[in-house]
Amino acid sequence: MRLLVVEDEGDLLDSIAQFLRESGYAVDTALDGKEGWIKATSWDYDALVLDWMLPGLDGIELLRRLRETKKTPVILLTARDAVDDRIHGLDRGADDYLVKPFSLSELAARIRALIRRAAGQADSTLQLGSITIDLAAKSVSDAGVTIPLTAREYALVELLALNRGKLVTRSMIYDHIFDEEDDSLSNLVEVHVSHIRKKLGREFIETRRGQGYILNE
Amino acid sequence: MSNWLRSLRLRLQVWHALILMLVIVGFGLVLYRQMVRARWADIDGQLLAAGRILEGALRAVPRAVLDSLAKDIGAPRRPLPPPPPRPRDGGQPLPPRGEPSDRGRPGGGFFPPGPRPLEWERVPEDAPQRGDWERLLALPRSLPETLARGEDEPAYFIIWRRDGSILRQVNSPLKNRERPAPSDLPPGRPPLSSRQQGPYHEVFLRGPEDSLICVGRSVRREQARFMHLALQLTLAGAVIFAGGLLGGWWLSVRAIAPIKRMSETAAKINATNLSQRMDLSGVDLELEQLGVVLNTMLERLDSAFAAQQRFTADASHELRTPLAVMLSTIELGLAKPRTPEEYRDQLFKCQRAAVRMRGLIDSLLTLARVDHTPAQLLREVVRLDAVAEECIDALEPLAQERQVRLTTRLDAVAVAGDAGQLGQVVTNLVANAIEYSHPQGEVTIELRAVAGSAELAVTDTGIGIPEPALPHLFERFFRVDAARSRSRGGSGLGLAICHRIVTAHGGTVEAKSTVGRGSTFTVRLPAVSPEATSQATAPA
Repeated sequence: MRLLVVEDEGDLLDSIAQFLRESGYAVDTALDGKEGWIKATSWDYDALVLDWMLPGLDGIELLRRLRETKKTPVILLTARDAVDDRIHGLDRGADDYLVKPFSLSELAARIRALIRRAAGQADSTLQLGSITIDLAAKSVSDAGVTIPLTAREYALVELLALNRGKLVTRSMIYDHIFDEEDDSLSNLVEVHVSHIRKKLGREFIETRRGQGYILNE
Repeated sequence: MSNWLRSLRLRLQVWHALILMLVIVGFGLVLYRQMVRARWADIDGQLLAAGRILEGALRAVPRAVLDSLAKDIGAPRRPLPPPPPRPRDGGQPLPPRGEPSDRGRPGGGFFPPGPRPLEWERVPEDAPQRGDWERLLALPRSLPETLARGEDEPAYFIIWRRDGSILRQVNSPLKNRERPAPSDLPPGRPPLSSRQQGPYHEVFLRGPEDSLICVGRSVRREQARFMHLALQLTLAGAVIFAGGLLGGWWLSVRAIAPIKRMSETAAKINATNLSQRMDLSGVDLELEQLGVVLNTMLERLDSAFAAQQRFTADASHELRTPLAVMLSTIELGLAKPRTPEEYRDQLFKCQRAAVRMRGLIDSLLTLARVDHTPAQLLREVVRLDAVAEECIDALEPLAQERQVRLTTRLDAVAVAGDAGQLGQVVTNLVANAIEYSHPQGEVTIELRAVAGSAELAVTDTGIGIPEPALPHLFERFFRVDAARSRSRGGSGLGLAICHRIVTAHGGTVEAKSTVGRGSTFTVRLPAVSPEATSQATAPA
């Protein structure tokens, strides 16, 4: 899943981005509102982490404009904790609200919840045949046996699972698994898919030639 | 009980009632008195007219009678001896004894010969008045009744001779009254004086030959009428009084109502509800003034509270941000084993954040101190040039680091104030100038005495300040370019602190700027003579 974090405190932005990457997300960053707006409208992010006070374009204003066209889940970060501010932010279109200073783990958990909800997934665990995907723990097990997957592999499995029954094109996979910082050569989707098939079984992922992949229910 | 006494409405009522009562009573008394006096004057006039008739009649009496009036002094009255028989007349019957006769006695005796004087005796009061007196004092028979019309008794008159004996009295209620001595007569212009004698009203005139005429009449009925009038006036007064009270009460309710409304509105106002304002529609002029004053005060309170809330929110925001940086960095560092380089990097980030927090807390404390102790402001004589020089020296390293040249032109000027705080102002302004200058830029600090003021100007050749930002420069937490100043550790309070200190010292600070060329900050403070003795105010 790909996230966008917009925060003008450079050090804080670095910490958040690194933590989320280490949690398995692809993370794009922006230091001001304008840059954030450009990126938010260029890609389909799975979730947006937005600071309220931003130079250039105010976080709330960015959100308002974004909501005219997109339904991206947004979690608002701010140091303002007055109840009125929280109400204001939520009413403006934010899906969640975190007051600084916050715990990075909590941020990650809330992002997980947002993505889950956006995919219509109520529960933290997905059951596909004998395969259990634990979205919270980011782990996959087959008949109770945990299957080790790389971060990329898990991300791909999660993406396909959250969109199960729907066709996931290659470009979608590119957009959601990799972020702008990625420059590794091991980003060939086919490679990841074949690794997954090796670990979870051939029938796990179905290929639609020339179109993409699909995970059957 | 004392609460009652303090009620404005009650006091108004009481005063109003008292004054109204006084006015009504006064008016009633005056009215009554005037009516009574007019009636007496009326009656006096009538009595006087009758008296004058009597007086005229007396004067018209023949001389001889008048003379006998005059001569009638203290002579005891006694029956006249019968005249001796006159032989020559032979056989004429003599008048019976005791009867008045108009035939004078011939010969000697009291009276000289001549026209026969009339002789008379004190007339018994119930003796029928006859003959000459009737003619002489011809009064219309009906006059007594006419004079005393409306009364039960007829009018009366009494005429006293000079010696005090009664010449004639008619209908007198008190028989054989003593002639009143002159001092007993009521005062008044002679020949008239009138008085009330019990239920009778009398008029006195002086008659010829020092006789005294008294004409009087009963005024019982009149008095009864006056009583009745008084009663009517009292009743009317009471009714008017009651009406006035009611009217006054109604008026006071109406007048007090807006005051009550205002105090109700005021009662609803508390710290969390300062948005209420007095309703000034249709309110009287005097009350409106009060209402306007109250509303203005509320406005100021409201904005003061709002400003304080904003400040608190801003301050907490400013403190939370570096704290968030520290906590996130630490959490990240502890999430999994890291390389020493990563740890170092994270520690540096924490340090930067902590330094920022320290700077912010220092600024907040300074601001709080300046805010709370204007009364305790040290008022020493401070050589501003010495203070400035010291601060500038301390900033040399920073200037060198930024490759900015510092130029100073300091005149010897003294001000009254706190050297420490003034130094802070200089440091703030010069440090800002250095920060915002381009490399190879120049910062100029000038201090001059201008028309009784010390003028300190700090000029930089830096990026300048955009026009819209100029009015807000000295607001707390205001930053022209948030990202830039924050990365330098600026809290947005530096200029606010300068402004506060300068204002507390009775001076002004202003900024002028051209974007891209530079800015000038000018501080003006009242100058003092350097030789003046320093006074430190004792803490309040």
